[in-house]
Parts: sequence; C-alpha cells; structure tokens
Amino acid sequence: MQKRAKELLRDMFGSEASFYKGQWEAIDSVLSGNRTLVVQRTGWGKSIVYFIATKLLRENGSGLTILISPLLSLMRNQIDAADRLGLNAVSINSTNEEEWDCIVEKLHQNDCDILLVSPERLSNPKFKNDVLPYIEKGIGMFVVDEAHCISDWGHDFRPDYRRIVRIVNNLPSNVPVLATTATANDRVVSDIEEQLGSNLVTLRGPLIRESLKLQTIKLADQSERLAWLSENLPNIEGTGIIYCLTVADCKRVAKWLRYKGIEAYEYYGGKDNREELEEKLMNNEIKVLVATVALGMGFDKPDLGFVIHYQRPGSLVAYYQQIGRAGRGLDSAYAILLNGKEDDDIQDYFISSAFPGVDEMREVLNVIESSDYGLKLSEMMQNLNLSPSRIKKCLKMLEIDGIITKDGSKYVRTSNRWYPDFEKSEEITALRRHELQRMQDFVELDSCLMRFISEELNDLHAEDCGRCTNCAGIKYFSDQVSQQEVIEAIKFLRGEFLTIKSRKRWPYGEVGTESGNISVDEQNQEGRILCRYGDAGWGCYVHDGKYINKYFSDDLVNAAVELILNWEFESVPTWVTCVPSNNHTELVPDFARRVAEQLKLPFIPCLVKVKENEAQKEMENGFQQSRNVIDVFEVEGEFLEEPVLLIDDMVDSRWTLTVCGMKLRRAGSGLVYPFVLASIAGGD
Amino acid sequence: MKNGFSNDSQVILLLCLNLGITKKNLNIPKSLTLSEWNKLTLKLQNSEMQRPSSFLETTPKYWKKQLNLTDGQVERIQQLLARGGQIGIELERLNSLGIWILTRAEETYPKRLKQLLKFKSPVILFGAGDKKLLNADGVAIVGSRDVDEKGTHFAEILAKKCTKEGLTVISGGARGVDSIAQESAISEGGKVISILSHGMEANIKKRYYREGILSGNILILSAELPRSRFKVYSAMNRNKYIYALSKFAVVISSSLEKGGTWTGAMEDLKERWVPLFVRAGNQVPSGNNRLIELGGIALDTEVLLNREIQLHQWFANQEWQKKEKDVKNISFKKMNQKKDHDVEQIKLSIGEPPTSAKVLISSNEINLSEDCDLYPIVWPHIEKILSKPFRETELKEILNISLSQLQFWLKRAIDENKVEKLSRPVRYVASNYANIEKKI
Repeated sequence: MQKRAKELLRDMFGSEASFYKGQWEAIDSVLSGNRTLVVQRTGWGKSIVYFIATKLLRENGSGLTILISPLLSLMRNQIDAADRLGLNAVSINSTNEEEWDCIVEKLHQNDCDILLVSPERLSNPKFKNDVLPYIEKGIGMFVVDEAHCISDWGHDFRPDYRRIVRIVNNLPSNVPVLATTATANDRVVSDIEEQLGSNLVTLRGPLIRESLKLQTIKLADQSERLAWLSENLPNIEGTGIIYCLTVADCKRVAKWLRYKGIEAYEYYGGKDNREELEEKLMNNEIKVLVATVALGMGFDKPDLGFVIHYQRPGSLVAYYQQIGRAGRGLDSAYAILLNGKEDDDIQDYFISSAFPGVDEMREVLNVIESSDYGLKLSEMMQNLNLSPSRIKKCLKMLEIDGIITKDGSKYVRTSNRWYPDFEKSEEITALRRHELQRMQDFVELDSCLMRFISEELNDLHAEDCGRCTNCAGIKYFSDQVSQQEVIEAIKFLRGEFLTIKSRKRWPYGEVGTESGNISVDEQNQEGRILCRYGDAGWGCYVHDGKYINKYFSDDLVNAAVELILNWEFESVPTWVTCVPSNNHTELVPDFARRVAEQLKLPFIPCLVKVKENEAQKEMENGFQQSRNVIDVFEVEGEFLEEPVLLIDDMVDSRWTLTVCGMKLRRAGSGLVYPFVLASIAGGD
Repeated sequence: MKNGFSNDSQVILLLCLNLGITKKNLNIPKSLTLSEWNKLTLKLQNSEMQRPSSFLETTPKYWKKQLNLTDGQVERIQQLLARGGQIGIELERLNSLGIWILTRAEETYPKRLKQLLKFKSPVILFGAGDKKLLNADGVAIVGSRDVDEKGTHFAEILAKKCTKEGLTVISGGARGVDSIAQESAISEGGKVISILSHGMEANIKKRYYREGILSGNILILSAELPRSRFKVYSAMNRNKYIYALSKFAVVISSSLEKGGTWTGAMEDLKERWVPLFVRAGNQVPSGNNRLIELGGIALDTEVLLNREIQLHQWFANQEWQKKEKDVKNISFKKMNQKKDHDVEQIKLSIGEPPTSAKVLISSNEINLSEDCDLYPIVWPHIEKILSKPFRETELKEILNISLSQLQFWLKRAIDENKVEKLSRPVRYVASNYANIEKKI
C-alpha cells in the first residue's frame, strides 16, 4: 500500500515528490484502523495525509470521507486544494443551500470523495434526513480538522466540537478516524486523547517556523498604533493580515488605512463579501485584510508576507496559530506584535465573558425546568436578568451537553442529568489568566521569541530561531512613531461619531402598560453619539469627566456643538433638555446647559425622576431594562411644543432614551433627537 | 466505540438499527427484522464465524460461504455495515436527548425478557432513565383505557401497595389503567417502568416523564424507534414486554374477547410467562370473569386492603403452573452447537423482497408480532385490483370490507409508497401503475 500511496503522491505533485517526515506513518496508522491524532505545524501538509488516505480507501471501494472543519474560509481552501489533487470535494453549509440538491445527486452517484461540513451541520435534521442517506457507499472515514477545538483547555474551544467527540465515540470500530491540529500543547493533547478514547495514536512533529521573523513593539494607545501602521505598512514587502480583537477595531483600522491611501479592508464573521475579500488578498490585489480570528485556520496563502497584531492576543498558542498564516512558501516573512497597556482590559473582558459560569447556567436551566414543555428565548428574558447573548451562550452549552434540546423555537429539558463541574470552570479561568500572563512575559523578552513560543507549546524540538528581533539583534521596524502622524490619528478617531437607532418595539411581554410596537408618533428620531466610551479620541475625556472631574470639559462641549451643527435635521430642534439623574444631579444638566448656550437655544430641564429604580447598568436584557425605566420619568412644568434635543452622557440599551422620548412626545413636544457623549454598548 | 458497546453490539446496531428514513426513489438498505436477525444468528452460531463481531474482521466472500448467503444477501449486509457514520450520528442524537440503547448482546439487557420471550425478545431496546430499575422485582398493572371508578380505585391501591413493598410498577404508559397505576406509584415515591409502544422521544420531553426520569423514579423502555408513531402491531408487541419484564401481572379490567388487554392476557395464559392475576368481584367487566375461568387467578380488593398481607408473598403463594418447554438459549455467551429442529425449517430471507404471504403462511412457527398481521396477506390482492384507479367507496364494495378498514390499509400502503392518491375525484392506484395512469 505504501507503494501505491507514493504513486498517488507523485501523480499529485510530480515525479520528484516524496512524503514529509511522518506523513506516511500517519496514513498507515489511520488505515490500519487506529484512531489517529496528528500534531504538526501549519504548512507541514496534514491535508496530504487525509487526501491520500481518502484516495486509498476510495480505491478499495469505501465510501467518502467526511471532513469536519470549523470555518467556511477553511472549507473553501480545502476544496480548492483537493481539486488540485484530483479529489472531488464538496461542502454543504449554510451559504450554499441552493446547491444542496445538486450535491446530493453527486453523493448519490458516488461522485464525491470528500464532504466538508461544519460540526453543527452533523446534527442538523435536514442534513441527517436529506443528505446523509443519499451517500451511496456511506461514510468511509471521519476526519476532524483543527482538533484542538475539542479541548476546553485549548485557546479555541468550540462547544460544537463536543458533539463531534460524542459522534466519534459512537462510531463503530469499522470507521477510520483521523484528527489533526497544528496547535496543541501537552495538556490539550492529553485532553484530546482522553476524550477520543485511550486507543488514540498520537503523532507529533516539531513546531518551529523557519521563515518567520518575529518582533514585538510597545506603543501607548490606539492613536499611536494607527500611526505606526500607516507609517510602516508601505515599507513592508508583500501583502498580509492585521489581526484585531474586535469587529469595531477592524472597521476603524481599515477605514484609517484607506484614509491614508492604503488598500485595506475589514474582514470578520458576519461580513457578507468574505469570499471576495479572501480572493483579493490571495491575488495580491489588496495590501492587507484587517481581520478578526474569523480569518484564520486553514487560510492558505503561501506568499503571505506579514501578520501584524493590532493588539495582544489572549495566549501564545493563539498567537502561534495566527502568525502561522505568514511565510509558508516564502524564505522570509514578518510577524509583528503591537501591544500596550489597553490590551489587558479587552482580554479581561474576553476571559470573563467567554463561557458562561455554572451559576448562570443553573439559573437558565431552572427556568426551563419549571416549564411544562420548554420555553422560548423571549419567555426566558422575562424571568432572568441575563443579557440575551449570555442566555444564548448558556443555552448553547446546555444544548451541546445534551441537557436541553431545541424543539422549534422552544428549548426543552432532556432526560440527561446535569453534572456541572465548578472546579473545572474555575481551573480554566485560572489557566486563561496564566496564559495572558505568559503573553505579557513574551512582550518583555530579550531572548528568542520563537523558542519561548515553542516551549509554551511543549515542543521537544524547541531551539533558538536565529531570526527574531532578539536573536538577530536587529529592529526590523522602528518602535517610534512621528508626533504628526499621531495627531492626525487622534483627529481621525474624534471624527468617528456613531448613531443611535430608535427603538420601534417593546420587548416580548408586558412592559408596564406598554407592549407591542411603539407608535411612530412616540418614537425618537435617529440620534448621535460623540464617541465610544474610553477610546483614544473623545472616549478618555468622557471617562475623566464622569469619574474624575465630575465635570465635562469645554473640549467636549465644543466637540458636541460641532457635531450638532453639522447634523442634518429633518426639523431643527429649538430647545434642549436632558435625562435626569438622582446620583449625579448636576453633571448632565450642566453639560446640556452649556451646549444649549453655545447653540443659543433655551435649556428646559422638564424631565424629572418620579421614582427610584435600580441602576440601569445592572439590567441585562431588553425586558428587564425597559421595565426598570418605564415608570420613573415624567414631564413637569413648562416646555416648548417643538422639536427638541435630548441629551445624556452614556447610552447602552437605549431604553432610557426611548422612554424619555415617549414621555416628551406624549406631553406634546415636537420630534425628539437624542444626543449622547459616549456609547458603552458591548460587542462591536 | 467509547460508549461501551461490544463489537457484537456494534454489528447488531449496524445490521438491525432502523434509522427511520424512508425516501422515494432511493434504495436505502433495509435493516434486518427481528426474524431475519434471529435466522442469521442461528446461522452464525452454526458456522465458523460464531459471533456477530466476526463480520468486522472477515470478508464478504467468507460470509457468503460460511453462512450460505445469496449475492443479494451479502450485498445487503455490506450496505448495512457501511452505515457506521450514520449510526454514530443517530446514536449521538439519541444520547443527547437522554435515550440509551441496549442490544440483546449486552450484559445489561433484561434477562427476564430473553428467558421468557426467547427469539421474540427485541434485538434493540431504547430506554431513558436509571437502568438499575430493570433488575428490580416488578408487578405489571394492565387494563383498558376506559375504566370505571371501581377499577380506578383498585389500580390506585394496588400501585400504592406495590410501592410500599418496594415493588416496581410496570405498565404501558397509555391512558386509563396504565397512567392511573403509574401516577399512584409515583405520588407515593415509588418506582415505575413505562413500556411505550411509540413516541418515546416526544414523551420524555413532557414534564411528568422528564421529572420522573431525572429523579430516578421512572424508566421508559421501548422496542420501537423513539420517533415512531402509533401502530397496532407494536402496541400488541409491547404487551409481551410488559408481561415478560414483570414477576407478576394484574389485569384491572378487560373487555371480553376483544381489545389489547384481552389479547395480552390471553397470550400470557397461553405462554405461561408470569402468574396472571385478575381483579375479581361483583361489578368487574365480563372479560375479567372469563379470564379467571380460563386460568387467571382471582384477586379481591380485600387482599389489597388487608394490612397483614404482603403482596409479594401472597402472589408467590398462589398456584400457577409453568409451561413445560425446553429453554432455548439465545445468548452468544454460551454457544449452542446443537441443531434446533424448530428453527431449521425457517428459511433465511435477508436480501429478498419483504414478506410475501406465501412464505409467511408456510412458516411453522406463528409469530404473533408479524405473522398475524393481515395486511401483508391481503395487500397483494388489493394491489392487483388497484391496477386501475378506484374510489374508496367502490373499492370497499369490491373487497366487501368496512370503509375504516379500507382506509387503514390504504394509509399504510401510502406510507410504504405502494399506492398513490389521485385527485379530482379522489381515487387510489397502485404505484406500479400510477405512471401509466398519469400519461393517459
């Protein structure tokens, strides 16, 4: 069989081709009936293992290979690679539903060698009933790519991979199973071994990447990072990726770079033209994609010249994996890590919000258990003070663990007992903090950067790379930025105002006496927000004003007035009012009065608080938020029956503004235009 | 498999687990029926292969020779064995709902079922809840769906007395006596085994079952696919399992010579699986009295109300003659090399088209589960008539049967894609002829 495998390899790559060290061993292992785990660096050619194994199985009359892959971008690349090697690969996913019939026909004709699917897809009823039965010869082999996603000790745990583990454990022994990953340390490997069964054979190779030149650069804040990028990108050869931690950062960085004349586009999970963007980067039509981790695993561009991190990732394993995209087919490529003190706040947020705690899961489960036949998400919100995204995360984890199941839009309790593992969830949080600490250690290093990473990944072959900035003793790029560029970046950030969409509907259920749609006559107009809270533009000023000086500075008043003067109103406000507060009675009214003075409009604080309520920031979902404010504001005294500017300092859920606007309209004011200093809404 | 299925069980699942998929125009290999599997088991035992797991280690050529199979049969087995991926995915789905599976090759499969039902014991059982309940002593409480006040009261105190003595209540989970008995036991903190004829998946989501299962008080068992719908013959089969799993059975109310309770009780009287007790007294249904005449043991309310009487002991002291019959061993642990003349005459029918009437009638052993079903016998006849389309009313005259009987068979034929429904006016035609009809 080894002979035939070599022949196939030469058919694919030409007569000179031979297996890399370990490739044949892996093929042999899986075809001998061993469940096999392959841990090899990116670019080593894991796909050769499952492509050749598939060929050999198919030649012996087996069914097709199912390749489980976590990301769409990964699937597209694998399909292309398989095609080049003469294997017929297809994918069934949420974006190609119109092709399913055609694909099913191919499956039925035994015309496919590899079927790529996401882990979620395997449990999808439509897939189970309308696709699987048509696979003419059944499933010949199971391949689990990016197998580190199985382990919740890993940096990229994906709950859906738990289902994969259960499926693999339910597969009869006549189905070969191959799991592959490029990024797994000892702990993750042993966790995978434990989960996939003790008879798993693990094959591991060295992780060092020989073309990569690593450098870390410390910068003060966002404006300096933006300035560094615009100054240095034009000098870096080739095309590449800039990784950011949030979607908002991607958008902002890409916009800044375009503003500075550099071809840069943002790329993230929900973006619609991702395929087109990948294609453009592939063909070097753009300089750089500014991406979240959604552009990652398996994105295979051999001549990618650089990977720059706009912020510090959460762990060295994640970092190793992301820089692994660069320089696969080049002699030299750069991996540059920008970092600064702000990074920790974002990472802290990620750690604490990554996976729901046991307490939250129990709360959600209790609510479901108390129902006769399950609950909808909207019904849960009325009984839980948890944000929809938190509830959804809890539901996801509970569903994956078989504690609840989805029946239409209802979540229903199953007959499996729930054994929450408090200790483990605490251990994992502790591990994340430790990993973050190692990342901080990394940027302070004066020894070999690559070696430090390899050792963190328990690579037995770790050694000094001789190429990183510390080994070579060269600063490949300056860690200084020009003051002029920084000032321009600050201006750019300050011009980045945001909008407030008006609320049009009350949350599901009864909010006080309100429910259903909000009458158009009582809705706010679209409003504006000066900045994001805490950002390097105006965000810091807002923070200082609110918590340190208890006074919003004249700079903020001027910035607000400038924004309002450039605002194209449908009917221009003729007076100014503000949202009242019982804690900081003067802060917002004082600011609003000064804005009104500059605008030469009367300031009429006619909104009053008639009732004490909980702090709105303690309310976690729309139902709780709207109920908390629905009956606390009233309009008192004189005011004008004309369009009005409604001012507040912070906005998150928009329910306070919505209720105040409604009260103003009901009392007889004109259109209500909200203006707010800073957004503290999470997410992007 | 990490979930602990032996290699024998894996093969049983590959060959016998029905995935519940029916597709037009698609030749999905049909999983083996109970009788097909039984026949294959005997062949295995009489060959060098011996155990089901041997299928995983040997070649089709070898099976063919060893088991004397036709090419069609070999191909069907190959197709079934290639279902590993689908089976794994389905088992995961069931696991995630809290449903487990037992095969006849598992240690934990209830021994009483095998001992009493022998080849009629289901190859695959689906369950939810604590398996330990399977080993406890249980009392079957059965009866009709519509039960009068006295019957209700009797079922309640019986179930409560069982609970007090630590006996598990075993019932069919249906309306009427079944649920009265179950609920009375649960309300007293007792244990219940509920053997369902269908719809396990929907039932375990209901609060009552869900809470009982999670608290360890209810075990649900079914030989039918968890997503299956009600079918008469699976309800009849289910009766067997209720009797065979329990140590004693009590009939609360039975109509005379009709209905599921009557049929089930008569079967127990004939097969002598477990001692059959029947509620006796002045105002019991006529079926009860007849069952007592035929050999059922009378059980008076006084026995239940007497605090001195230990039910378990009282039951055990009543005279009940066991059926004398050699015990066939169908476990793979003890290989039986002896030829069994009973089984020899049954031909292996895997790979062949499903049940034709002729084969069934010539079979010596009347299998109540399948062979009593009239449909396969009458269908070929009806199908011939339906070479031309007919309306329901015409067809019922031709066949000289009731409309509801006709509709029942037609529905079954439609489910099996054997018949097509034409519109304007509504008529039925055998699928084989439907295309010709459309062209015309």
